[in-house]
Amino acid sequence: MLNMIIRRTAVALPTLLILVIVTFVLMHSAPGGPFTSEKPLPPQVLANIEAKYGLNEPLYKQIFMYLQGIVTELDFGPSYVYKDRTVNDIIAQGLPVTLTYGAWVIVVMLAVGVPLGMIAAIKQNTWIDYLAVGFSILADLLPNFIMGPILILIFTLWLGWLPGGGWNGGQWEYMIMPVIALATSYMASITRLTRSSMLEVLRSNFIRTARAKGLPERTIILRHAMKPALMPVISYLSPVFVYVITGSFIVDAIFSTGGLGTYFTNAAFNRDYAVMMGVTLLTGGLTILFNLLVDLLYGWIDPQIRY
Amino acid sequence: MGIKNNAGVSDGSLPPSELGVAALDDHTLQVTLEKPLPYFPLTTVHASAFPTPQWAIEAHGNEWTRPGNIVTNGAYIMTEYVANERSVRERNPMYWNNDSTIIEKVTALVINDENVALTRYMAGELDQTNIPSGQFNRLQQSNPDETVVVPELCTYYYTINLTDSGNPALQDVRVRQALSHAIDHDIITKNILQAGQKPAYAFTPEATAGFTPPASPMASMTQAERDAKAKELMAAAGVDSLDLELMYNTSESHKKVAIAISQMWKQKLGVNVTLSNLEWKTYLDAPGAQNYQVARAGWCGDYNEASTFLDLLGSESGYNDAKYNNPKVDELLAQAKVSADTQPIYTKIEQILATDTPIIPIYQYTANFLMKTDVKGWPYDNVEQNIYSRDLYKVAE
Amino acid sequence: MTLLSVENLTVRFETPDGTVNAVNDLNFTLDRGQSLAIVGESGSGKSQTVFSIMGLLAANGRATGRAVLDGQDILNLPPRALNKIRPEKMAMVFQDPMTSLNPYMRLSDQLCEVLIHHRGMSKRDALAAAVRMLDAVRIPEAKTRVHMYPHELSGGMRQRVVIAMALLCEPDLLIADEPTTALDVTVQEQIMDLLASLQRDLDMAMILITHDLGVVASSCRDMLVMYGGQVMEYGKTIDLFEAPSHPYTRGLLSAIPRLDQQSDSLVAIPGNPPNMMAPPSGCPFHPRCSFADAGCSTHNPSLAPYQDRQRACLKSAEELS
Repeated sequence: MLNMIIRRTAVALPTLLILVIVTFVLMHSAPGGPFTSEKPLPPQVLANIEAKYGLNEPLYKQIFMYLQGIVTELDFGPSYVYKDRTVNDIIAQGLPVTLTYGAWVIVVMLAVGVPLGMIAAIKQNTWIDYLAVGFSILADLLPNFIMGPILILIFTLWLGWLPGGGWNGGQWEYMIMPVIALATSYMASITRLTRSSMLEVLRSNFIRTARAKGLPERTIILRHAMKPALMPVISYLSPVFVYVITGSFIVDAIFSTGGLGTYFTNAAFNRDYAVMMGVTLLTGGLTILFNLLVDLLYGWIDPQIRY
Repeated sequence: MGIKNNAGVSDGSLPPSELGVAALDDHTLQVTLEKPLPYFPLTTVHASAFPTPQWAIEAHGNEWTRPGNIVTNGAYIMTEYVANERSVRERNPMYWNNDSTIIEKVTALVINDENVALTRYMAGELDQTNIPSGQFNRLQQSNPDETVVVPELCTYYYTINLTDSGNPALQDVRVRQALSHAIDHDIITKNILQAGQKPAYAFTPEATAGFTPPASPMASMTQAERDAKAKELMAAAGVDSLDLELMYNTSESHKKVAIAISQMWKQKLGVNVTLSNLEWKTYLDAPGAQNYQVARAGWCGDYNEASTFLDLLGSESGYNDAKYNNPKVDELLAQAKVSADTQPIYTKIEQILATDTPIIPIYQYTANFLMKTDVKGWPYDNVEQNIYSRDLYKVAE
Repeated sequence: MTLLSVENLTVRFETPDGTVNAVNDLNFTLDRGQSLAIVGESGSGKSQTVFSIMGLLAANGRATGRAVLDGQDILNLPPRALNKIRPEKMAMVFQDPMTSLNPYMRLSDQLCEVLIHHRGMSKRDALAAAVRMLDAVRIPEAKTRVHMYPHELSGGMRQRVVIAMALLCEPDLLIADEPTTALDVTVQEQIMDLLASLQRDLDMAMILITHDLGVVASSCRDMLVMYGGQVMEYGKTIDLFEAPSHPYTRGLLSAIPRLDQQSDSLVAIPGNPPNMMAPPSGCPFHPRCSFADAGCSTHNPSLAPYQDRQRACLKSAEELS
């Protein structure tokens, strides 16, 4: 297993390097720059500012300097828009927010989706099953960008129970709606996935063996069927992580949560190069890490897989 | 702002000490100008003219603007700033006129989605917020006391590339005039924008202090007359088919306006318009490089004086994307800088612009927002939107 | 003394495409310590017969009739009641050892849970009993292997584990559903030998489902030939082998390769087993029967005694010779 971790890390580094180079080149090839504005700066002033940030250097040198900063000092560079902040500051502010609600999203979608899918499968073709399937279809019709405003309308405007946005250090009442908005559609997928995988497992030969062994239904479900039924759900977690990150673009915009999502879009629009690079690299690294964790979890649960 | 040696200091050919500013004593700032500028005092309300202590910047470097580091002389101190979430200002007890400050704490929330902001306003979370486009009429019906519309010092216009990289047909002034006449300004303001905007027939908005733009001949015509004139002008120019490219930056509202105008040009003049929308930063590069034919633009005054608009069309202006070059205009602009009575000069310039049509003014912006009725002291007539929290207060209802 | 008596057993499945009549009006008895082979091609209903007895029919399956085990009708008992009977009185060995063990659980856990649940044993005692049983089914190094996962064992070894698991509670009846079809030929014989010797040693009754007549001859006293969900011929194995009185039994027997007969070609029964969604009219076997005449396609023969056995055929045995 250690072997596998080392191997995956060894592959991750060149992957991230390619990510840096491609993002850098793409970003710089887009017209305009961080200091392009509606009221252009005098050329000399612009030149001074670009020199200050090293933007006057050739691209390969900029990439090199950027990487050097990361490797030697873990310095992801300055923001050109939030001039009193470095990219490290921005990540330090935004990442905990995104990770906090992201973790809750994953917890909620699993805590609701998995049991719901299991119950639906066990009670197949009963009203409970129909209710669960109906719910999951409905939830699919409500992607996060629709869920968000609807939730605000209901819980902020009509009921007045929850604040319509903000983060406020991650207090629970600020977190509920972003988490629900982001979790719902994937919760629906997880419900359906768990249901179908549970149904398949319940029809499998080894469950028949367990029944022939005269074991009570509860033991059959929890001891024999649960683990194998969860395997597809676990492998489904890798895209879920990417979804949480991309979903944070929307959630941060709707709920002003101040997570990393806002910086993705804003940094791209503002040509805030270093911020763009920083969040891209960070997300890339986290995605690789998360996939590794999912694979390790998979291997830990499934005895047939050995790394 | 025309401060002495401004250019030399910014390009490094002169040391900063040569800049025409000096602190005579703790409370007196002396500014030396390159040449006389009657409206100079008006420009000092711009945020870039606010004083900042040098030691604070030297002590904190790049981080001098953070709460706790920043040193200001206003009625409020910034106490919290979470990028993309909120900023908080609290009463500054050291402010010279602190006794007159009423509100203790002002929080500004960043809400990217205007519709969400509206919902949160309705839920009572906010005291003031912008009105999302398309919602003005509805809100004016439902919340008439809270719906505010005030003129803004801004003009929405189309600029025409007059250089060789533009459309050759647009070199002919008659074609430009025809395009201008064919636009039904009322449809744009009343049917499309629907938020109290006024049609613009001059570049300088009517709200500008000290100058009333002259009544353009076009303004007094009916749209039917304008359309007839437009066709006449096109015929006179000998243009019977024209393909134009109209550029705007990505936005629902710009798109609606562009579609409407391209329809007007198509129906009335048979002009085929290709719309091209560009993402903001990309869009900023193109007109400045004369890489367009007709482009959407907007201009807001930096100070409340007509020159903040009209200077834009001087041949030397960096913002003159049309590359309009009329020596007469340049001469009048120079004259205005040293004149006590600018009204006739600006009037003359507007008249020339109306004829030459390097740009087509479309509408005058309004600021429209919702504000709780218990908030008082709002400077409605401040067209530059310089709003100071120290002037505001809340009344018990 | 009769251990199991199956009376008028019928199994139907409701599917979206229609009703499948898997088993029709089946009757047989099995004495304690005796063995019965149920023989037929795939789709003849032999597996569904034993699944219905074990209470393992799929959710859309419905069984009617009676299956009296040790004086108690166990057909359609609710799971809770059935769980007192299986695997204590009857247990089952399944067809495919590759899939009939839970790949996510150690063998020890899969074996011990039976004893812990049914015998109330402690984990330690259960493990010791499990190892003894693995020894009994001749798994070498059972002490070590008991802690392995199924995928760490070969197919033959896994089937031994499945057998051991079925025998843990020493049932009166062991049902083996084609226990060797999924295994290598060399292993098949070992497993069959094992089953036969265990049956003798433990004095269990056994139902062996197979389409391999070769193994029937050596291991089962009785034999029941099924086709299209119905019994074609039922009697002592030795009688049926010596003088098959039904065209289908004959077809099956002539399909066995025999070392003592010089034969160039393997005689198989031409044609395919019937579609049970739309079974043929009359005798289910008539489309493939070389003796069939017009009457066979309209009348379904019922099982009737004939000499030392029972048979279901419209033609008399004499007509067939």
